[in-house]
Amino acid sequence: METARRKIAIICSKGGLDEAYPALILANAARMSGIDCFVFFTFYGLDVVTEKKVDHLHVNMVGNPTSPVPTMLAGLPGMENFAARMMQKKMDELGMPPAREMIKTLEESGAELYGCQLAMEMMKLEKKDLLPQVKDVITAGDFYELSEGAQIIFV
Amino acid sequence: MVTTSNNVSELAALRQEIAELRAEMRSVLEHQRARDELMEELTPILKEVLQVGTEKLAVLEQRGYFAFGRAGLDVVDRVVTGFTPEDVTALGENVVRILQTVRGMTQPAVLAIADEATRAVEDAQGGEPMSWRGLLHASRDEDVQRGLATMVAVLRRVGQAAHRGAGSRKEGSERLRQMLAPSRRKDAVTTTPPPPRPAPLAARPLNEHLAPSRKPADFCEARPVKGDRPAKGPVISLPGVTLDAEGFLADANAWNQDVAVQMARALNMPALTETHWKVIEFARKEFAETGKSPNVRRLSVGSGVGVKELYALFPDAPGKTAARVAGIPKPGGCL
Repeated sequence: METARRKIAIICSKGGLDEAYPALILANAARMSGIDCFVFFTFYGLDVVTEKKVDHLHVNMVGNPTSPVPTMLAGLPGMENFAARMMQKKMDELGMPPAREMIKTLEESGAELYGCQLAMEMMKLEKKDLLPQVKDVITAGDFYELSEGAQIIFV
Repeated sequence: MVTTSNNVSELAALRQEIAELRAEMRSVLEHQRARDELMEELTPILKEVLQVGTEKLAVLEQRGYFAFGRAGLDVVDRVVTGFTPEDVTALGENVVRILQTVRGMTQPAVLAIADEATRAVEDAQGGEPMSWRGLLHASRDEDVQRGLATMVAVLRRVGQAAHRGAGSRKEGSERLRQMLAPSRRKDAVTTTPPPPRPAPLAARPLNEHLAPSRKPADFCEARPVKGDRPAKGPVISLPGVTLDAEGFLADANAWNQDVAVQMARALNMPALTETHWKVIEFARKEFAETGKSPNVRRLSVGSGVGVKELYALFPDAPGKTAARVAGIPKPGGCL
């Protein structure tokens, strides 16, 4: 191995489709480019690695000025579901794998996934509630130890 | 003696004068009497005339003619005070148009509409307040729709006229100013712009220094295009094979298995295995078919080799490494 390999730490703090995917894709791209990478899931970002929620990620249209739906309508019941399905469909067309598969690929490609201990306590989650690809549950202090020398991306 | 004869002649002259005076007096008296007689005869008639005239005036007053006249005077007064000579000049220019407007407004069709509108207003007195829903409902009525269409057409014309008017009004006032220029020499003098004041000498070089002239070229500097990025990737060279700046084969057709082996060695990869060849074959086939180099996900799905294994077989960046070994261009895409 050469010296001074590049290293990236990505913090995924949101669980919307449009917020989870950038984190996952950036992490995957880092690995594809031969960059060491780990992802820290915290707060709603934990949804992305939570067994029960990973297949039901939604996209938030309310207060999203770039969404094609006017904010007044975006708040209607079912709109979130609809928007999520539309976005998922678009991503399927592009051949983007679902979040669960992305997580699996990430783990296989050598990226390390971590859950945030405090957020998990807050949301009454345990390690067994998370996807098996999550390597460990760590604290913010652990995160800094891990990310030493890494570039940090907060999503 | 001389004096007596003098006196006699004076007396004669005096008597003649008196005689003349008497004649004049008589004629004056005659005139006076004739006038008195005339007055005596005319008085009843005049009285009659005056009486009749007064009565007539009273009747007119009763009918309101004078009030009308007084009001009319007020109007005239207001017109005079409220309008400037310019307005009156403009009025003169526009008399024909006014008349045309009046004629247009008194066309039977227009009057019929106005009449109908008036009657509608009378009918609508005391009508129920209308809600938005009511308005929407009413808009489905055919008559209302036609009315709306008429109003829209009228509004459109009014808008066009207003647009034109804004221009012509400016022209008109300009023309008027020219016409009135001789009598308003004072205005004409003030309207000519004063000569620009020369800037203080001391300030000039400072200003020039503070505002350097920015050429457009400063903003249009050519950015380095994608291809000009400094090359990244392992520095490798293979004998007899041309590589691009990033270490990919310049020509995919120059590839053979030998090149693959050499490339793998140059990249410090372990010896190529059966699985390596499977991936390489798929990559070349995919590139030949689609013209695109497959990246990690496609490689894994297409060759049946797991992602984890790919990372092990083609270290660092599996997509790029496989592409180098397979002699195809750098793969794109994010997955």
